[in-house]
Amino acid sequence: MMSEKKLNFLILIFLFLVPLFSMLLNDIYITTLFSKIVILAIAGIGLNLILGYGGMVSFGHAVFFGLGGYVTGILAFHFNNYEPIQILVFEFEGTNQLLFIWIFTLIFSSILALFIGYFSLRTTGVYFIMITLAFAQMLYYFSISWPTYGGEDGLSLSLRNQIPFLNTMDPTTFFYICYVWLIITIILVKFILNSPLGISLKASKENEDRVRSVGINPKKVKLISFIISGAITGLAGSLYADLNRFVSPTILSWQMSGEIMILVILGGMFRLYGPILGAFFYIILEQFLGGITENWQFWLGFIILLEVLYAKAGIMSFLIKDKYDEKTSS
Amino acid sequence: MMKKPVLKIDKLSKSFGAIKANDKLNLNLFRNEIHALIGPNGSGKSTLVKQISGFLKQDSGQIYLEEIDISNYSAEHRSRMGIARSFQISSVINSFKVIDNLRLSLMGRDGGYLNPLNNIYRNKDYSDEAFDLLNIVDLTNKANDLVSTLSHGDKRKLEISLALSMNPKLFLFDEPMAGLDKISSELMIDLFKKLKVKAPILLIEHDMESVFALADRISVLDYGSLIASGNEKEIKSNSKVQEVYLGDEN
Repeated sequence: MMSEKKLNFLILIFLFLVPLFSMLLNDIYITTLFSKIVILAIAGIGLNLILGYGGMVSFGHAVFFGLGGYVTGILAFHFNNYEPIQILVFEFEGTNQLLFIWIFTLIFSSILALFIGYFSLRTTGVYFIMITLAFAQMLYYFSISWPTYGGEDGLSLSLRNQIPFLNTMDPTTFFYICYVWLIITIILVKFILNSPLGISLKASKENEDRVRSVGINPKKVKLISFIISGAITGLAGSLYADLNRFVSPTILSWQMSGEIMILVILGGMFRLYGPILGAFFYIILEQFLGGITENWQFWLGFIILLEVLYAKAGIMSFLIKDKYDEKTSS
Repeated sequence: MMKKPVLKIDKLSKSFGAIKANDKLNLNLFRNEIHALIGPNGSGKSTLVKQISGFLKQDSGQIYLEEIDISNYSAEHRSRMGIARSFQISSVINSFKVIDNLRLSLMGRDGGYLNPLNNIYRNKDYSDEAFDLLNIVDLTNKANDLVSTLSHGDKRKLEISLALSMNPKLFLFDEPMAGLDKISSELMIDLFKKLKVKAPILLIEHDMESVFALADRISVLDYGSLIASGNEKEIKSNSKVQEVYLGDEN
């Protein structure tokens, strides 16, 4: 048992040292595996902003994850083919430069989140869940039926996209790129949670009437948070596409949305570092149980069932002293 | 010269199906006054407060705040304009600390609530102002307590301080004495007497002792219509009011 701050610090130190463990164990796969954990953690932190702190159960966050992946894949595809991207009468060159790809990903994810959020936030509860799922499914089926970019078979990237002076094909370098993005995401979300937007979001989750009666428009608060959440998840999708050098409709599927949600719930919905632990345990369980049985998801389901029944605050609540109660989130 | 009302309600109507909750209501609220609204349950008092504060859209009629027609403004816009309200059932952010409820309302008032970067907890101006407001309602010693741990009376006080934080032009208090013990009610009465100098109060209250102790003017609603308006003496002697509401209470 330790304080939350100490646990958070240990998580970051542990992740930082992963390539060293990988080197000591002479197994570079560990670094690649942890790159996946870090990327899913970023997506989870993005979702947790609206799910844990805003009470918005988005069951379609794979749409942003997938969009990030496809933006990355499509830009790289056109760069490699020397074919411009045509949108109506405009033509754009592809690129393999990650800095540009990330900027494009953030812009496109934000625009999509604005669009989806604008319509979805007119609803609440189960309708919100269904409408976010519907948007994600629309893009999922669209990607399947778009032969230019591989359709159902997906799109392969021959090489990872580039950052000047760095070898992104090196698993350790790529891991640290993901790690830096994780740190940036944590800092950003921490700022948001302590900001006027953050406390308005937490208050809107609990009591919209009170929020409105002090001059705050909860819909605007939720929409801005939804956009930020979508952008973060989109960025994670971009990293995921580069990690695998492959993007396919699978990352737009409802199963992907479920996976991101599960790791958030598993780690601890109301804590900033919860999704990191969630991603860690999810991937480790997948690897460990997957090695024992084909039906590893059955056992994962069983673990989640136990958690929902007996430890709603997630794995983090087992490891820290200051037991979390949703009523103490401010 | 005729006094200009801070709040003017002009032929306000609201129906729920066949039930007329408010029927062409006219009402004024003037500076330095406490105007109490009384009537049996279901007479349309809370519906009126919801319409004034923008939580419910009227079917017809106009609402003016300092001569500005606010009938189509959103609830949050009206709050920022200075319509400060409390709710029939205490409505505060239970998972926040007391002081954070005030930080929330202060930044809502100032309109910078979409800012994603400034640390609200480090804003000294808000902290100082929040303590000043808590001081008015005698809650300073509970500033860092979780609201969920407060007593009902303290939650009521917090609601009053939240209303005060909005630079109010008028207060709408919906049964603020409900559930309070005698001592707390008396403290609340003293507080309201001080508050009315800051901004007039439209008070909905069932506790007639409090109403008569506070109100400069009393209006009586029945089935959504105004059946009488006047001072304590006039209301007490009104036979229709006796019949539909006061009965043998007085």
